[in-house]
Amino acid sequence: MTEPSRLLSGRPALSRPEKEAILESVLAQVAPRARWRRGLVVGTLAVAAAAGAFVLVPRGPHDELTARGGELPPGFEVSCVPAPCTTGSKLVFDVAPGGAASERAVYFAAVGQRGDTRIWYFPGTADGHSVAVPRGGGVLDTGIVLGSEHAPGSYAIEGVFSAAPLDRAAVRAILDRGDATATRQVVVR
Amino acid sequence: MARRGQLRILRACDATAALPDYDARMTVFAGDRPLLDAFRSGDRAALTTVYFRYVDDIAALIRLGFSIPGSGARVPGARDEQTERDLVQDVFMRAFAPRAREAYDGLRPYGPYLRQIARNLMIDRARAANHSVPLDEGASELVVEPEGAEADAAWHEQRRQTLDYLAGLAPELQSLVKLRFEDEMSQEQAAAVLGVSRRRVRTLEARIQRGLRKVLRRAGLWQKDRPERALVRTGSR
Repeated sequence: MTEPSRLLSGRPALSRPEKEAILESVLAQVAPRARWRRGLVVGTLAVAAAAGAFVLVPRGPHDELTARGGELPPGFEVSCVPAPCTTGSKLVFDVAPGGAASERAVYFAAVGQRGDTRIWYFPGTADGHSVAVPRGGGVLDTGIVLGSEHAPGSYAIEGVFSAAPLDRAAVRAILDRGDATATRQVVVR
Repeated sequence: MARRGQLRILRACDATAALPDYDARMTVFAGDRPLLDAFRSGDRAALTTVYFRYVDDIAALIRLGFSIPGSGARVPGARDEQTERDLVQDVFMRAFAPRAREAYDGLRPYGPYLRQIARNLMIDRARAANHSVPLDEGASELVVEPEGAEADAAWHEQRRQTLDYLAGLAPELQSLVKLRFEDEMSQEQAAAVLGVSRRRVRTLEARIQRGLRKVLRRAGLWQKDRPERALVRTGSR
């Protein structure tokens, strides 16, 4: 099965979108946009873990590979605490419901994909639903601890934002249509 | 099949040998001290410039594999697209790591340096997969990576469906496919040419790929459901 962007380019080599996605992953690891922000996330997570509190983190600047402008679409960032991502690290989701949606309830679902393997993050159980996004966005108070199911390699993490909680079947249908709201790459070492 | 495999080896060797050696003419940093300084300090724009200068060479090496001079041994190319992407990412992750950047003097050719990282990663991977990868000159075992007619036929059938799909797209979308996928423009460049916003380009691009996936799925050329795996999960909630 060939990557659609390669079929569109007419060449079996890496397509431009693939190259951009790889570069984004590399830069996220070797030259993160805002170094202070990761430290802030770690610190606030520790506080949140102790207090069970909700955490809000200011959005960082966006580069050419992310959205710009006043009408930001929903999106999310994902990072590992501690970095780099490896067994035992916790995946931390920093979600932004987007400008238009920031005033109403928004729900977030996420899965990790590597090759033919799909790993569910939210909903976390077979009968669960997507999680509520903090109003205005921020770090979710549930992280995902990477275990043996995350073999080393690159994972595409697909996020789906919705106005109502979704179960896995609904999320699966959206992903199968290729309608994920945003996708991020994470490399597990 | 065997003949195709042999042919692929020859093609791969030729292709590897014929890869454009930019450094033979000029390394990306030659005469550009500001770029070197920015690169070493981890400036994202500089890293992006260096990445796009070399990524095609590295990807080709990883896709096609290479032979080891003297031994006749051959390290196969990546078996699938995901592995190809992983390896390309690993190469640049290592080369762009802060310590590697700071250690680079700007004088040594950079392309061969990247290719050496790629080769080492591929050899490690081949060894881990129990391929025999002899490195001493006396060894002569070949690693043959057969490329079946099946794979070629699958590509041609998918490509045929893609062309049919493209023929039915609106002119604006066809132009976008040419700019973004064939000409490999960035979203910003394509937006400038088309006179639309970058956001519009991104939306249209997603729509085009979504439509293609739908066409391929209808033709039985796209996997609808993927197996799932249970996750051991611990949260703070």
